Amino acid sequence: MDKLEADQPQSFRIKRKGTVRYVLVGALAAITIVTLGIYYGFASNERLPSFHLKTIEGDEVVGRTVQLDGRYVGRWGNRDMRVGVEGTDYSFEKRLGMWISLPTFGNYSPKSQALIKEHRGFMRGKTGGTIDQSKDWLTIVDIYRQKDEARLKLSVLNKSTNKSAAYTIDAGPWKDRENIYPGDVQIGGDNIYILLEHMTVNRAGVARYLKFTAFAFDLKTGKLNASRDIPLPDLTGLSVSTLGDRGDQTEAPNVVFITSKDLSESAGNSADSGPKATASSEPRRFEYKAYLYRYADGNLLPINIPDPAKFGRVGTYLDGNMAYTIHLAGESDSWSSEAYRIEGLDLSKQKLKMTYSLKASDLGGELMGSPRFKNGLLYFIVTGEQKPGSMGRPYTKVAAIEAATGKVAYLGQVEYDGPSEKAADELDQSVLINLNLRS
Amino acid sequence: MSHYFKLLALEVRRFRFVLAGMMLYTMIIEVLALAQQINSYKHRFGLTNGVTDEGSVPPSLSFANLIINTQRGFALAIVIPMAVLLAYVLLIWYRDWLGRHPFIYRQLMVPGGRTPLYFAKLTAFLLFVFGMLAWQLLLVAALQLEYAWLSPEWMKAPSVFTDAMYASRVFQLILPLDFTEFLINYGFGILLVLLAFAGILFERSYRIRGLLIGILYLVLNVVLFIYSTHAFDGFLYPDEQLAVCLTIFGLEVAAALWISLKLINRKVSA
Amino acid sequence: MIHVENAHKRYRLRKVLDGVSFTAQKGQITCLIGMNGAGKSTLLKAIMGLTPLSKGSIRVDGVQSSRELYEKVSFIPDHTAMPGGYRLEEGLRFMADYYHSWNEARAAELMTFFNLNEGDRVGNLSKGMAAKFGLVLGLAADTEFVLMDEPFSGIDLFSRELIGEVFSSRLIEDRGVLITTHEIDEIEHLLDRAVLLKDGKVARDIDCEQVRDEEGKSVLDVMREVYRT
Repeated sequence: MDKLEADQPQSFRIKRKGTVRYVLVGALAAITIVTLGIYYGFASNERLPSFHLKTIEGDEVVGRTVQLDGRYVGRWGNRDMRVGVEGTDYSFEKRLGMWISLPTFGNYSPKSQALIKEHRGFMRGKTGGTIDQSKDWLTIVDIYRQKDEARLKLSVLNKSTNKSAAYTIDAGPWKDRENIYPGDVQIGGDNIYILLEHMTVNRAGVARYLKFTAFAFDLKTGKLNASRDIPLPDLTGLSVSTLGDRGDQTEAPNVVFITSKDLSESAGNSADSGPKATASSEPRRFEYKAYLYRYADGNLLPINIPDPAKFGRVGTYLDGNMAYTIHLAGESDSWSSEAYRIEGLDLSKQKLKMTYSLKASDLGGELMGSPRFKNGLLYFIVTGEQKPGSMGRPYTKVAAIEAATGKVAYLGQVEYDGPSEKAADELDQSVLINLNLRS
Repeated sequence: MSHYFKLLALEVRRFRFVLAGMMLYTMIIEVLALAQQINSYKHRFGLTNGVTDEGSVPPSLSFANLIINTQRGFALAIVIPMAVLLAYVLLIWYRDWLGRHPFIYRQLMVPGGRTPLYFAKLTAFLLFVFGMLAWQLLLVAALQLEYAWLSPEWMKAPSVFTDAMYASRVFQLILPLDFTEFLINYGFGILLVLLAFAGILFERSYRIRGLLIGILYLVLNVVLFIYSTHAFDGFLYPDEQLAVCLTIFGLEVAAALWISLKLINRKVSA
Repeated sequence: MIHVENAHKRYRLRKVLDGVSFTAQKGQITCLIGMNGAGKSTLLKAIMGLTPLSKGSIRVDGVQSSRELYEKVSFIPDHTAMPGGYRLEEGLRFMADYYHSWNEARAAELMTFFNLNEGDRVGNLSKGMAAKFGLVLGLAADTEFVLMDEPFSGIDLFSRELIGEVFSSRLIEDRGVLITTHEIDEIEHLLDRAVLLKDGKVARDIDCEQVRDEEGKSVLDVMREVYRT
């Protein structure tokens, strides 16, 4: 075919369009990446403020046990945060879509988190129970019912050898309508002492104390040394509060029982119906009795407490033979006070050993939050006054006071680390009013 | 590699009118919804000379607060483009198969294998999704200007951009403020797209049987992934569960890619 | 050459190909003949990798599933496989983009010869123009083989004549052509080989000239023999 010769004049040319075709794709990709990059780099949660607890005085080791929980309110949305010596953690629940939440350590208490970090293997699978640890031991006590018997499951970790063991302790009968709880768990030396509260629940759903039992178990040999009923008087019609030892240094821990009886007009009927809400205007009168129980030898000692109605108003902490009671002093509201008064009662001698005041102003602040007690130290959050219109406090400090002496063992302050420069504003927007201890 | 870019440019170019249409639609709806909200707020208080009848100045309404009141408007603006994109997961393939002009012949006959074709369609689709997200962000910035322009002086109050993003429930879903949450949700979305593509290729290779296999494959993968988010609860710690979850995710992505490439290179029928 | 060996293909519940074997040589025009649904299109698509075989193999120049298959073999399907919204020039650009073997000058030549306007949209072409465009796409590349699926079906007489001219031109000369049709009138005189398919099998595989000389039959005669019984 003559017509089909390539050197004929062409009436048609294909237009070449090399790189023009990529303009649309390139523009779309560039705009997308840049815009999303700016959003997530600068605007989003990546720019939330970070704080940390700085040590001003004392040993940082003390600071490490403290975790401050609160919220950042400078932006909308759930901004729960935790501040510690190492920095700030915003515990968002990470969700997939609307219904599925991803696993997070957020539901674990700071104490559990610290334990899991230290003893990952031992803590695996342990989802409940009462935990106590000393320098040498870590124990978890759980109670369960097998037919009509109560059983204690004891998981033990020897910290020095890193060996773990599990024991089952026969805890006596468990009848229907009975509730048995571990009321106190104490490690003393190489022994563990477990207090069980026995309560009955009647048909109306009212609970009454039945008795208390204590178990002494040797952690080294794995043998039960003693299983005792605590010889408290008849608990019918009485409310009981227990104070467990909060000091970890004791070889022979104790527990204090305080029984109270409502002496107002309905006293006679209280056996079956429990405390009634009285509409009378007459002040309620209570009769208090206190006992000191030594786990090691099973001795129950009646003790006299001055002003038992106020015993534990803010808090009472048992440390060996000493009971420290915290009273409000100065101006106070539901969660903070200008000052506290501490009384140290020696229970074995039944004498007031010391009393002193702790003022927020002495610690460099204006208000003090409720105390926490651990290992002979009282921990407080100390803040400045809340400014009108602001939700946070201008500064937040943490003080740890030696309970026996009133001396400051540790003082720390929350500092702003960035990203912006407006430290004062950001601190004002942070509400850190919960102190948790990690051990 | 150059074939991949050419095919990608082709896919984007073919969709340009739909994409522009969606962007225009979103913009118009949001602009109108916001204007309507500002207007109704302006007239709520019965003002004369900028002051109510009682003599006080009415409360201001910041941009972020305005968005709280415009939930339906934003939902409407987002839902149509979402539906379009959802349909296009299927159409990006089926448009080339069905009809009088089976372009898929040409696409499958491009020399050098069909892997570039698969990835071109995948990345094009993802570009459309993320492009619309970026467009939405730009729109919010533009809406701030509209707010500044339309609202009377007494109404103006400052607000932070991220609060505006938090204010809308749809934004919390599609543009979460937490980057990790963004990665998680869109990572899962990408997995779903990969599974959908695998399903489509199953159907195109084995017809009805393939469709059933494809659906089953998708369901199994999703169930396995969701189960893995709380695998061995109580025995595994949360960080370990996350690791399991991520591993499963990686395996599922790899499997979906591998299966899709195998199907498109060897089994698919034009 | 294109060598199909024992091709089996099941489509839904029907065995479309049941052990088909044949060879198409370069420089020859081979025609696959069969009634509707005989599997002719399926065979072409299988050669082009557009549909898998259940069993059997296809070798092009001795190699199976080569990556460079598409540079060697071009395919002209029965429907224009370009999006309806594309202009003809976009279709040509597509081919130029991806095929080394694409010959732009020849494409331009063919467009002129067929009197096609590059600005027209694929969707607006008449059947005749669509078929011609298909030929442009298939023949402009420097491929060794050209596969054509029903190139004449539904085309007007004059277009058919034009297409017929292409077949006897330089364009087809040294290539191998594998064509499917059930209307062989226009090209019977051009065919070198004919493979007649019946019930999924090769009923007869003939050298057209040889059959004409030795048996005095035309391809049509052979077709009657095969399909009327």
